[in-house]
Amino acid sequence: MWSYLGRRLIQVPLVLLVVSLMTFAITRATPGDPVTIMLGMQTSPEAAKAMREEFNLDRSLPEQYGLWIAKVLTGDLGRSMRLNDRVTTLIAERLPISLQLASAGMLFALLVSIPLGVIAALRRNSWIDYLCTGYTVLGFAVPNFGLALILIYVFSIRLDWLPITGIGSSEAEAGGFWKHYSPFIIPAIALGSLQTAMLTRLLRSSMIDVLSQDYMRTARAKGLLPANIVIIHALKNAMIPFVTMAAVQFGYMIGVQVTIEYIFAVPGMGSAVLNAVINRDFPVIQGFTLVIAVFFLVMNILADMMYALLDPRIRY
Amino acid sequence: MSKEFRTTGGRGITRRGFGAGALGTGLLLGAPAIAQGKRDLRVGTWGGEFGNLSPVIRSDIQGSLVMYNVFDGLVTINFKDRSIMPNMALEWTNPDPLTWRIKVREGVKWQKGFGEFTAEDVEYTYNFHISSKSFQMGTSLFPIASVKADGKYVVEVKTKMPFGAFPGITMGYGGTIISAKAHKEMGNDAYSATPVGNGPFQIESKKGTEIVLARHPEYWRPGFPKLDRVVYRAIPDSTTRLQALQKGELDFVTHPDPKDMKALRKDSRYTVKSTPGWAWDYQQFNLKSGKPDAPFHNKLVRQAISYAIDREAIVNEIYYGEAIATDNQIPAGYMGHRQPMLKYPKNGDLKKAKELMAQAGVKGYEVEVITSDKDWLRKELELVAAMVSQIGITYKIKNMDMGGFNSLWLNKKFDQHLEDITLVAPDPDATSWWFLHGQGNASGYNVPAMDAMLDGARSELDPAKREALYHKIVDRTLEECPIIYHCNTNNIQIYNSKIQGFEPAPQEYTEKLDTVFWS
Repeated sequence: MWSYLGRRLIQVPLVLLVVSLMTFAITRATPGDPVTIMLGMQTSPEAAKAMREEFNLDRSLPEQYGLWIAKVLTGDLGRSMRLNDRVTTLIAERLPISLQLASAGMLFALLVSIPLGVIAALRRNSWIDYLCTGYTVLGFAVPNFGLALILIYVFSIRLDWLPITGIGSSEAEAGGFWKHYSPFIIPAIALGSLQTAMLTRLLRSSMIDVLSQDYMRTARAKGLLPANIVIIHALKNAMIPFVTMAAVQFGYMIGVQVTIEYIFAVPGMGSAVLNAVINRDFPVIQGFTLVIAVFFLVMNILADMMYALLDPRIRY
Repeated sequence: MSKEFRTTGGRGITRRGFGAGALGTGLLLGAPAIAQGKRDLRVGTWGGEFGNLSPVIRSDIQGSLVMYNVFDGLVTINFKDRSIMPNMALEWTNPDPLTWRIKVREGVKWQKGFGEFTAEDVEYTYNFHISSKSFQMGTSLFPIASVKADGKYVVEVKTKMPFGAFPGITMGYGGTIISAKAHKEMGNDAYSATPVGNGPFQIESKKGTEIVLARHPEYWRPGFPKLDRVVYRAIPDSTTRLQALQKGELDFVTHPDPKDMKALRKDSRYTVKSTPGWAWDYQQFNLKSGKPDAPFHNKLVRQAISYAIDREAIVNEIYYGEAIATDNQIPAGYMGHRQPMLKYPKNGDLKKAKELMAQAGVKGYEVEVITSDKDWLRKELELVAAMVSQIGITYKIKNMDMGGFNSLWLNKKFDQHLEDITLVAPDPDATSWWFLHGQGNASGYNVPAMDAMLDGARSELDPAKREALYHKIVDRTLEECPIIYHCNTNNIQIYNSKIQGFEPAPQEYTEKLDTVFWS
């Protein structure tokens, strides 16, 4: 397993290199000049020249890339062209919020999908199963921003139970537990809805698969308690693909929160990248994309590691 | 020439997509009671985050909303009569056409213990702009030849040319002064992120999409500001901003969607302010597009387009009445303003438009028209395309994001565009020079007679003569139509009706909160 982990870790820099090259190429190929956007159209040519020099935009593309990568290797992701902050500072501000939101979204997805998936599998082709399947169809079909608006209308406007905004605000953070975490509830449900559907379906099918295995019959024949059979023998085995998917999806959720961040005014990673793209703030786009890619890779590796933990037969 | 593009952080993505407004005005429910006599205010602005806050670096509009509460400029504008009022500059004289002597106010303290505001700060600021070749050298400080403090409270500015708009533009838009001591100690980057000002509020904290301002304890105006704290939160979606106000998560919001205004005006829990703004929506032609045969190079065709446009329909359909139809560049109250509609009828004149097309010998043509990512401009362009289709012109609409739009526009790689713009100074120079002068505009419009009038009006010091020159400039613009103006859009704020003392301004980025208090 350790040698496998080693091999995977060796791949990480290569993948990041490709990601960094692609991000760099896309930012430079997109029309739009960051200096014009930052300084305005009436700026003096000297000011524009000074800014180009400061951000190495006066150099050739290979030079720009080389200089950037050399800095990245020292842990310096550069400085935002628009926000007067270092990219690492911006990431330190925003990553914890994105992580909290993604965790809340994943927690919701797990809390719903595990019981639903198990029940649907145990009661296959019953009305409960159809209800669960129907729910997953909705989860796939309703886009998260649509669900967000519905949830806002019901829980914030009509019932007045939950706030709409406040994630990351000083008012919420200075408040107590409820004030701090209540703004996460609706965005997390909206964000996790797709993963809920995905994971419920996956768990249902893998549970059905496991339940039809010979060793399940053996377990029942041995007179084990049904709960033990389901939880210890069936669920643990059915969880293998489930855990992989959940881990990969968690990495994915860090990067795809942008619509949810927009609606709920969440100061997360996605909205920072969106604003950076609109303003052609190259260092922010490149730095944030790299960090999101790192997360994605780490979650993938963790998922593979978990295989081995859950199923002792798996050896790398 | 002093103007500023509404940057992407502007209203650029405020109302874009994601079902914004899907729930719309039906949500005017249950705002919780607000405690009496509160001393803090929670403000929701648009945009994604607050960028630069220093006056020596170009800022976008939501950054400026904050900045102008942190700094007091040399002069202020009396928005009732657009006159220039003393502020940090107590008085100014113009002993000869190339010299301005400014006497600054005594006893003004910089925030956070950085000492007294003096003439040396003015000298330092202007010299920093000059040495760093800042954006303001292209907007408001270009006439400056030299700056010298004469003692602690007088500064003398020598200009390269007589400049009639000096008080409004150089001391106005360019007159936000930085603390020399703080700027030197902190360095330009740190100062730009959390500047030290001389205004009513100082920056307490700044992170992500939130800025917290606290009362400047040594503020020079006794009794002001009336609030202890102001929390700014950038909330990009206009529906979310409004809902947060209605739920009591915010007290004050800017830039709501105009379609929500009708219902809000009827709701006594909120005060609605809608002020005709110093901003236009306009079409611009590229007269150096590399296509000299393009029909729009003929001014009769451009006039025909202007006649084909029903400006009142734009105001009603796109802005729900929260705008003023106009066919010229000088908004109400500016020197040189006569009336919003001077030549072209507000509902258009199709017959006249068709006659002009016939006179030009143009039967019909197709042209690509670009616009940026503001959804109201996209809708407006679709409406305008339908209008001009009646005279045989087909607009091929190309929607771009702000960066892409800027790239095509500033490099003159477009045929025609529709955009909006915010004017930054209360002087007519700001409405005309940059857009119409051969050295300034992105139109490729280059008419020596127009240049002479624009330069003459800029250097003329006699207001009556300046005004007459601007009338001529406007008449010529209306005749030649290098730009077709549609409307001046309103600046809108909605806030809890227990909030008093807010004075709205026609300048989009001016929302001063020093006089605001809770009843």
